[in-house]
Order: sequence, then structure tokens, then C-alpha cells
Amino acid sequence: MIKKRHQLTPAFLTALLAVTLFASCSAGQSIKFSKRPVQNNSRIAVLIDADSTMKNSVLQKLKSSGFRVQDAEGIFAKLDTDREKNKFLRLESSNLPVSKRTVNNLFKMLIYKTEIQKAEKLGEMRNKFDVQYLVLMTFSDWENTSWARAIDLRSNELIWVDNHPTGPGDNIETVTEYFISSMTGGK
Amino acid sequence: MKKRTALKIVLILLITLAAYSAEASQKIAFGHFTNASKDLNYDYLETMFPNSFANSIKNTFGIKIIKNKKVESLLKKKNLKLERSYKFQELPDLCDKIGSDFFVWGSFSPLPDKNIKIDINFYMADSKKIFTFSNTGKLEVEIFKLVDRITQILALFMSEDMFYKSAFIPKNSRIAVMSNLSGDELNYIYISLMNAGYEIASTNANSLLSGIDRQLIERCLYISSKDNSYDFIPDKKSSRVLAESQEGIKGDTPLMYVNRLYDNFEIHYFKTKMDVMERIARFYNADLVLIVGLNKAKNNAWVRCINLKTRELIWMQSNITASNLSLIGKKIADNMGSKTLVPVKGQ
Repeated sequence: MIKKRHQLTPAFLTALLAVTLFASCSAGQSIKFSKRPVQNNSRIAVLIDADSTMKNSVLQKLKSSGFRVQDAEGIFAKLDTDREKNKFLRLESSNLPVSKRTVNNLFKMLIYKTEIQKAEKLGEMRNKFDVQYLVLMTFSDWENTSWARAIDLRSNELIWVDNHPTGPGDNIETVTEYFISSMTGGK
Repeated sequence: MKKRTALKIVLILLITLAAYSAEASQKIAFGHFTNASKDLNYDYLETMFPNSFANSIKNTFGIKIIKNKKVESLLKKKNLKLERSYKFQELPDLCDKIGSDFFVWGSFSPLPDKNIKIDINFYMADSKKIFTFSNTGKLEVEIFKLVDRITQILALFMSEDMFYKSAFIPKNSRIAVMSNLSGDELNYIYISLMNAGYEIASTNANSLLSGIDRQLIERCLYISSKDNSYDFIPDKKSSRVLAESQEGIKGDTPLMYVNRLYDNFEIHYFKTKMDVMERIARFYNADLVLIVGLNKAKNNAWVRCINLKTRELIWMQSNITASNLSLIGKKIADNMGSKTLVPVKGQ
């Protein structure tokens, strides 16, 4: 490949610092996309990243808004991708005569197979509980930004995405209300 | 629009040329371009193609070229001969022997309606990487256009962006994104693609964490498909090992395990991968797999895109830089919808 020589001049370093500062400043911006609304009488499976008190509050809000809610926590728990990954890492550093390319291919297949297994799990849940959407909400950094997504499980298509930076006076309830409104086509 | 595209190509070629001037001592050697058909009427192209490529690349890059006749004589002095094809493992030694930084060889097959398909292999000795691609053009009338197009593809691939794109990606295509980004960061990429009119299959999106770290995504930098691949030379461990006699042995011994891995993930990897791709396409109704790798600072991305219908690598690009993930997402979406030859720059 072409060899490039980078010179660390003061101008270059200043530009690099400016870009880094701008990048960190522009993180956490409010963005959303909704392809179609999620009807608030739908049966939904939810994955929530929050402590148990917050999670109960979010679940209550969803139920009181008319959603029929199925908690999907632990749905991917048995996939154990990390265990497979560690097994391949051990193989790579072992004395066994396995080439780097073979190990790379193992890792690549692990990524694809994990996605297939997730689709199978979601398909099972959809059929068992007759859920139409998977809704994900994360409040683990809610004092700065919360985010949410909705997936139509009939087609496995992502239909709603929202990153919501916390505003003055926001709390878990108001953020949840915002997400419900955004998801159902209100905001 | 055509003028702008032509201008961009000229600009990229000039930048690449300038980079090569700094590396003026680099050499590119040419091997055989073999007639893969049984039709002897096309044998004349075996001489024409390597010479035309050599001249076109010399004119474009200003790089020193070693034509295949010269390669033959260099090898003859060492009691060796220029083979029609090489195993990837043989390439480092070959380049050492002929003193070349790059080695190009390939084959061609006539297609109906006076079309011709050329398969090109481009080996880079310095990095021990190999780029394989194919291109199709009209025989006779457009043969020199085809040669120039292949030179342009190589110029773009060798630029800092390492750009290659063989197919236009229509809006409304459904994309299965795999990335080392998670959560709100991944959402920036999704929203950019959705705003550009693409549908998103829910791979990665269906989890709170993608589960793919940077080390894992970087395994996907190398992609092999039927016609187009970017790969590295397998090391010497890449062969079947002599397993101890299986007679009387119960269970799986380490060497049996190693051989099974070698069979499934090296020798028959193509089939293993095809099966998995078929299931991804089916479960997610997806048209494409888009692999998006981000650096630690999240300001530089690379992509690999596989068409799930043809199972071909159709787009790869590195060095997609921007100050934030929204802009990186927009650049990816813009380049996704761009024509096949020139990436969208300067946003």
C-alpha cells in the first residue's frame, strides 16, 4: 500500500485537538427517525437497561399507555457469545497448528451465527406471546442521554430510533413519556 | 455530472500518482493472463492483456513495471518458470525472487454478446495482502476502455481510502448492519442510512449491546467472496495436519479438532459462509450485509458490504473520517448511493 508520512506539526496537533473537542461536543445530540408509528394498543416485548426501580417505572408507564407488555429480559442470555469468543482466543494463542486465517474465519462466523440465533429467539418469542414489536430503551446514562428503538418482529425491520439528551426538569417518567409519544407518532 | 465524475477520477489518479512518485523505486510485476475458455480464438488476449495493463499502469502511476517476459527471464536464471497461477502462500517468495513490490496476474473468459470477463489478482508484497476482483466489458470495441477501467479500479483501491465498489446500491435496499458501535452511537449510523432511504434489518439493533468489540470487528476487514476479495496470505500453519491414527481413539483429539476447523473454516469456508449468508438473508429479509468498523476515537470508519443475493463483496472503503458519528453515517450513506467508481468526498 501507499506509505504516508504524517508530520506532527503544531498546526496539525491544534487541528487534531479542535476536531477531538468538536467530536465530544457534538456527541449526545437529539436525533430520531420513525418509519411508521407503533400503535399504543400493540403487544410489545421490551428490553430495558436500567436499575430495577427505574425499570418497573418504565414498564408501568408503558402499560398505562395501553401497551400489552412482555418483558424480554434474558432472551439472549443463553447465546453465550463471550464464551465462544474466549474459546477462539485461547485457540489462537495455543500451540495448536491453526492458521490466523482459520481463526479469523471462526470469529467472523461467530458474528453471523449470533445474529441468526438472535433472530430465532425473537421468532420463538413472537410466536409464543404473539408480540408484534421489540422495544429497546436504555436509561443507564439517563442523566445525559437515553436512547430507544423499535423493531417490527414480523419483518425484523428497525422502524423507530430515538436518541434523547436529558433536558432541564427531565426525570425517568418524563423521558419515558417522551419515548412513548415519539414511538407512537406523537412527537 | 459526467464532468464532475471525470474530474474526481483525474484528481484521485493525480493524488495516487504523487504518492507513487515518492515511492518511485517501487516495482510492479505482471504474470500470465490465462484464457480460461477452451476457445483458442481468444489466445491472442493472453499476450495483449498483460502488456496493455502494464502500459496503462505505467502511464497512470509512473511506477516501474516488469512485464511478464522479463519475469520469465528473471525466473529462468533461477531455474524456475513463471506459472499460470499461484497459490497465495507462494507469492511472498515469488516477489522476493523477482524483486517486485506488487504482482498482478489473472484470467479471462469470453461471455455471450461479445463480452469478456477478466479476473484480476493483485498481490502487495509489503503488507502480504491480496485484492482480487473481476470486471466485464465489450470485446474489440471497448477492450482498451476495459483495460483503463481496471487501472482506475486499482488506482482507487491503492489510494488512502482503499476504495472499491462494483455495484450501485439502490435506495430501499434492506441493510443488515454489523458494527462495533452500540446504543446511541449506533443509532447515528442507523438514522443516517434511514434518512437516505435505506431500510435497516434488525441485526445488532435488536440488542442493548452489539457484543462486537473493536478486536472482533477488525477480523472482518478481510472478506473473500466468489469474484471479489480482500484477504491476507495464509501462514504456514494453513494446512491439514497429520492426525494420529483415528483407529481405536474415542472422542475428539486436539489434532482431529484442528483438522475439522481447517476443513470447515479454510478449505470449505466458502460453503460454510454461503450457508450462513443464506440464513441471514432469510431471517432478516436483508439484501446486504454492511460491516462498519470504527476506531477507538470514533472519528474514522471503514466499511465492507456484501450483496446477499450474489454473495459478492460489492463495496469496501477505509478512512471515512468526520468529527462526529452523524457525519460519518452521512458519508457512509452518501457513498453507498454513489456510482461505482468514485467515492463522495469533502463533506
